Amino acid sequence: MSFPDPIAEGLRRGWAVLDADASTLPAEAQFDVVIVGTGAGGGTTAEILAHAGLRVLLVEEGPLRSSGEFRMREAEAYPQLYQESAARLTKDKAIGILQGRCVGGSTTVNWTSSFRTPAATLAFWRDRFGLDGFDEAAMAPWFERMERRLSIAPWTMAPNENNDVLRRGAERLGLRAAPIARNVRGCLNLGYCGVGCPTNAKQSMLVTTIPSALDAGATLYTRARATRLIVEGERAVALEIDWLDATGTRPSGRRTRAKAAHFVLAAGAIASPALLMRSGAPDPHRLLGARTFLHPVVVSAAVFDRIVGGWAGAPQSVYVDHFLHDAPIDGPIGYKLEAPPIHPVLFATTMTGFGDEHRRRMLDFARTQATIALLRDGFHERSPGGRVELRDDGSPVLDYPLDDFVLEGGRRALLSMAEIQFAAGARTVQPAHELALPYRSWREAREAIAALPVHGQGRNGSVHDGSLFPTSVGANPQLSIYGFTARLASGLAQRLTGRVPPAPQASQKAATQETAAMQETAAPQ
Amino acid sequence: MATRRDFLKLGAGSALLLGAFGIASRYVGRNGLDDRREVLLAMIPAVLDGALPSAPEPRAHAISAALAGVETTIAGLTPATQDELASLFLALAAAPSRLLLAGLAKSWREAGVDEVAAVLQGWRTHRLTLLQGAYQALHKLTLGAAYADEARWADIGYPGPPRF
Repeated sequence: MSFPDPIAEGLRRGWAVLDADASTLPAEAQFDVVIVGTGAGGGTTAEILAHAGLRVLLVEEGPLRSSGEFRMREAEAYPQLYQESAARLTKDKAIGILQGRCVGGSTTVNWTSSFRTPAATLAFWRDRFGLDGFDEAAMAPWFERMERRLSIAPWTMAPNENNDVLRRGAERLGLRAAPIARNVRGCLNLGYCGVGCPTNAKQSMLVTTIPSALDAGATLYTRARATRLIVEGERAVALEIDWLDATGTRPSGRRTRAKAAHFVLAAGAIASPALLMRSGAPDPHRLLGARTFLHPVVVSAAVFDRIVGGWAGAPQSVYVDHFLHDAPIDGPIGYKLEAPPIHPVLFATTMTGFGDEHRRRMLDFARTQATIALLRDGFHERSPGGRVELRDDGSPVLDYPLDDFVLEGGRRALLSMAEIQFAAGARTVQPAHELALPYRSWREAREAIAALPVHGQGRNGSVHDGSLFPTSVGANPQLSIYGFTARLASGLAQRLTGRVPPAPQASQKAATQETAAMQETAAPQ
Repeated sequence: MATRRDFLKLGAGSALLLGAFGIASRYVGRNGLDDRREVLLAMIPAVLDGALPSAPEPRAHAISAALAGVETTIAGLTPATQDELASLFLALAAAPSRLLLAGLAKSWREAGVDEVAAVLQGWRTHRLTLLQGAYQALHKLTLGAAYADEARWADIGYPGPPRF
């Protein structure tokens, strides 16, 4: 069975896509708007601007890969689709950062969790950061619009066992567990969202807004690094682009200068500030790259008597928000609980220890349930987040020191997760912490976890990505970025064209094709 | 996060130290690739202990497959990270810095699995964040490369991705 590949089809129709391996590359090019990055912010912006009649260039550092090449193997997906082969770390190597680096950005490889920006977060941004006009009521139509565009709806199929453990354990303790909304159409419930959806069910930017923008005449450069903006006076006049060599990590020496009337930075919370730093953007208050948030994650692994099989079925289909609401938002750090996919490389690199100790954990692979806690950083003065810095070669690195305040939140999250896992019938619970052991009962885990040591401005430029947010979101960020950037891009299109831009719609034809594909494969499964 | 203790903040100082060893090693003409192999061929049997065959020939084959996997992963990292790792391997291979960082008087080739395991165990919670970082990097590189290999999947009960 093969699935239609909308990228291969579009390329055959003659999309304007230029890759670093092309024999000729222009020294100079001219557009109305240059967008750096093709993830949630860049994809959403490109579709709106292209359909408003603007000549748009999308610049992507990663490659263009599509469903025909997605073979559900971590060994292929991580080097091809992720920043730094999925091994990006903060400066002191304490936190791993999973971030996309391909056309579609993180939306090509995320686990589809779609939450509107929580009302409490929007209220906090208004009250503490003066972000007026972005309250719940003002944002609702923008979220609705992107939910329709990307088929975002609560997951109605039964959760897989990995998620059901979280639901059962939480409910036994009287905590509310709810289904997560996902951006999917005709999803086959395979469980491989993180390595590129092989059936195009995931409504990532790769299969929605970017094909739509390219059909409307936009241009896409791939394996093209945005090196710096050339600024004259108060205006950016061009973007200097370095094409990458065959390794995809080093400049080949070929360059293009893309001129435009407007520039949109949508390269994400690490790369966008880094581009501004390399461009020598004015930064009188040293704010550039500051307050960068991650939702640091802690992991708790529980072993059951029966097979859990966390590799199969939709990842992250159940969430528990109780611990975001049991204290004031600016009090001790709150956290959201979810159940991630479990695949061999992700699991092997997350589980602590080596030699026999690690081996024993791997032999429990199939019977292991994993719960994660996303810590809501940025809401307390002791949680200032990280700062993006430039290395000597101009590449960005995030300095995110973990202090006691955040680590203490991590400890509370490990306690909550262990209690839920034991309530759901876990035999043992193993927190992912260097000094933690497998615990056989909630009582034992409670004492041991409690004792674990923890220390611990330009005029023609816009930013349309997650680096806009003054704190973390308090939920997986993709729908927040879609909603905010749809609104910003529509405002930009109106400013640049003088007309209210049309709201892009999902195509009916694509939906029919997907449904047909789903029916064809449902039988052999 | 919180997967390790955050000890004394000696990161910057120790990075300078490491840089100095890297530079010194270059002056005495050491080869980066040989250093990397020497260290990894000692580390891999310790990290994968229990997950490697015991018969000599299959064992040697599994170790070289894991080494190849780690080298492929390193080749995909950013130039900055590759440079950082190269400095680490240079410093670990050169005798004076090996003694200082790993407490190992003999060469990696002569060290037994238990001795290497003791070094790694010490780094997990070392007061130098540099060595904790080295442990984390070697842990992720080696175990990631090992379990990316389909040959290991049946043994841990992973059926592999679905086939269409």
